[in-house]
Amino acid sequence: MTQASPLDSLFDDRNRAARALLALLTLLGIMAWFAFAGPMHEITFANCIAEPERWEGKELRLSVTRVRGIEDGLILVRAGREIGRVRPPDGQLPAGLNAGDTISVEGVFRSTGILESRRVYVHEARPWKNRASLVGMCVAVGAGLVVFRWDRARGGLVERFDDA
Amino acid sequence: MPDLITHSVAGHLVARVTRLRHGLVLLVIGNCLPDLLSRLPVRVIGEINFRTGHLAEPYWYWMWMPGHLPVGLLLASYVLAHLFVRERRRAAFFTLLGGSFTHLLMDSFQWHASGGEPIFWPFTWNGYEIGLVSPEASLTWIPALLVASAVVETVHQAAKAFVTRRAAERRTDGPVGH
Repeated sequence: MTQASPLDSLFDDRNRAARALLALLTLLGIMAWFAFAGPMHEITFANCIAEPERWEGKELRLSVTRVRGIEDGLILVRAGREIGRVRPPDGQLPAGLNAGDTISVEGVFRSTGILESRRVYVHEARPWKNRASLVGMCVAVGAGLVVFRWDRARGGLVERFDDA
Repeated sequence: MPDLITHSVAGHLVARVTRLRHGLVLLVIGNCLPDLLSRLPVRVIGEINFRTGHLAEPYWYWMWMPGHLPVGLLLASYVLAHLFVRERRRAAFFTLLGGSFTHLLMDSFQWHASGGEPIFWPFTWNGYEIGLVSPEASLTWIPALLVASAVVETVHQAAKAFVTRRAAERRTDGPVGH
């Protein structure tokens, strides 16, 4: 006779829907909290621009941000939202940089509302990475659709194949 | 993040090397899960905003971050595992979670200007990463990983066919029988 594991109760059929719903609501709650709270909202480029005098000299580091345009420095967007302008102290932008490119920036915020860049890294291969990720995503999701089927009698997903 | 081809192939290789009998595809999906939960929605929202100007508020960006953190992945794997029949539910949960954590481990080898994500949240907001390679470095590994994956799968299928044939021969008292 096998002894029941304490974990069994987390995965048995009793209150199955309620347990899954509770986990989902907890996840959504955490997502909502991240959306409106947390230290990432305290010192952002946008906040610095809103109070430029207060944040003069503040060091900012921006990862994987797109360049919307090149006009008196770089106009940056993240998730489609314009977040501010970057200008190197000597005015020299990295060679070959174009609108639509993805960059990472380390720099110092100035009270003029500009991020004075110390280092600009151009993610040249980013479009290829996005395409590769799209392929990988289609493979993973497609494999899931092929391999799993809904077993009506048992009320859940099962594998179609023994070795997948 | 490395690209999702690299993550998918990593999932396949881990499943075969650890001789996972069930759950290869689940491990591959688990390896892609963090990006499906966080990067994909941000990309879609970014494109919508880029074209229409809607969905521009910062919370549309930050709300997806838990999908790329252990806490969010724990909860997401638990929810997804409940789609499975009872006998497979626990294994599905741990397989998805194992794949997701493999993804985070692989991601931690990249360096980012922001210094990594707060993977130990809610204990600390500090970001951590090992930071050895650029975020696009994985693109150069894809050909080698695909070859390795094909070789491993070929060996696995050949070994499986051999074992099946031997078992059938034993049952019929054939040439390799006693």
